[in-house]
Amino acid sequence: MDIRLFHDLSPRQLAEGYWKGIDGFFLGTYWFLRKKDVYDYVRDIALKGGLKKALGIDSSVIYIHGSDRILDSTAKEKLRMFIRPPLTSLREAVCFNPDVIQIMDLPLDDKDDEQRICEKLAINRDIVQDYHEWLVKGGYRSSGRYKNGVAKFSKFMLLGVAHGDYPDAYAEETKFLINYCEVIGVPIAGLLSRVAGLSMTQRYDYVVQVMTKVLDVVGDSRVVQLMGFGLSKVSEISRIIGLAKKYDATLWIESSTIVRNSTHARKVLSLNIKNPDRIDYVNIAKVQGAEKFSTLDVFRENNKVLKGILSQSLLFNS
Amino acid sequence: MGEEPEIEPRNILRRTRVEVAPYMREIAKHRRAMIPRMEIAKRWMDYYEALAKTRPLKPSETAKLEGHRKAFNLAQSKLEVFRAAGRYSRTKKPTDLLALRQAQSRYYEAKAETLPPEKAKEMREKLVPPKEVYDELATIREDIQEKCKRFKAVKYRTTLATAMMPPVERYITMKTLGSALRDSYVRAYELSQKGMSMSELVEHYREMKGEK
Repeated sequence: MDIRLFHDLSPRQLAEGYWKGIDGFFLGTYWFLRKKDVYDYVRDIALKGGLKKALGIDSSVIYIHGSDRILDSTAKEKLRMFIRPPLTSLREAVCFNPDVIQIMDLPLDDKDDEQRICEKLAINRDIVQDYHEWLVKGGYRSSGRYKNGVAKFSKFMLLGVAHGDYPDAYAEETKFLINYCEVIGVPIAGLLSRVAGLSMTQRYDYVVQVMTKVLDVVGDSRVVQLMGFGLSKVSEISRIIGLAKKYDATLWIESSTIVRNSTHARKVLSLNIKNPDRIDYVNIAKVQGAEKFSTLDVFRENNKVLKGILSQSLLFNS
Repeated sequence: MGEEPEIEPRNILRRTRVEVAPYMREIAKHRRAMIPRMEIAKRWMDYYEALAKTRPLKPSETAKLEGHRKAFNLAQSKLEVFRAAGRYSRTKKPTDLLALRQAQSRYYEAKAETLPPEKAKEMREKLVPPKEVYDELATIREDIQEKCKRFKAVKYRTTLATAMMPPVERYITMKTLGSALRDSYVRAYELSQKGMSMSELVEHYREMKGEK
């Protein structure tokens, strides 16, 4: 069993040294697509041999390259489609030379009817196969596989996102994805924020249901990534760790909450004196010894504390 | 009492050749043996480094030293791949799979370094997606920035001209700019795949797949 913590970092933060001491990071395309000379930036990184080499990042830090996202808006149906052709996105990802490439996917929406859901899932599966074929054709991946479906040689790992409208649908998608992907992503963020009419406890219950179904299929054969797991609610970590323990699974927890609280809000994870059972993000001005922390210090502190909480929870769960 | 290291080019060349010979025989027997390859590369690297102490290396010798260095890295990374693959095939654990992939990635890098730099650069350049995709994005971004600036000026009356604007004209300008902005955002996000319903998109996607 192994649990790792991933952070959503921007190229600027990476250049400032946020990568030191972390397990890995997730770089979304929106960070550099907003730059002025994107083409030159991508070309420059490609010629330098990838982002890690260009920014001097340690090779042991895992780099997940994100894919283009669909505009997160409830308005206008026409906004909800592909940003760029998926293979363009893949070529760009290869230029960045990451460890893991996220496969472009089409998220489901609450308003989608049965037919649309099927269409979207079919497109997602098509893209997964396209990515795999392109990599095989380009010589980055072997067509030969182990008996469990893992390609024998691959320069990159593929992260496939399992979507669904009920827990068993996630399991079905996972069954397909494990034939092509080393990492299975479960989009937790959408489950925690978009589901209407449910309390947070009920939403986390649903997440646990989904994770149980996915882990029933995956077990300890692939890495499962919790994409956008709301780490603002620290108490929920123990439930996830309990699940990982049950299945002896390898989980990668990814959340932007830590970065957001560290760099934007300058809050550190701290104990509440009045209620020592509760741990929460508190402004640095209120925490003794943290008054003069820079944003980078705050981030490192929060990362350290969360990793500590993870290892402590592992101890208590065993 | 340690002996003074003897750096006599002829002697060290002979010694290196003698030392390398058994490893060469081993490679001839076992094609996948990586440690002898590493040993050979190491011996030759030592030879050229020792030679460099007696006289400056010729360009051909420097190239050979570099070649041996690359061969050493390649053999080392391949050995890592073999070890990681063996471990993964025994355990089938995701952590070992991760180690295997990282070893394979390092091997790929080491192999790419054996290419001449110009060819490597050419191959990397070929990978970068066409410039037009990025150019279109840049144009749209500038367009959006300009429209946003104008929209803000009209909404908050920050310039003299907008402050003097009659209410009806102001309302119409804001409406027009708003819808233009929305269209720009749509275009930015679609990049020439505009205005399609989901089933049209599926058709388009199939066509795109057929073309490639």
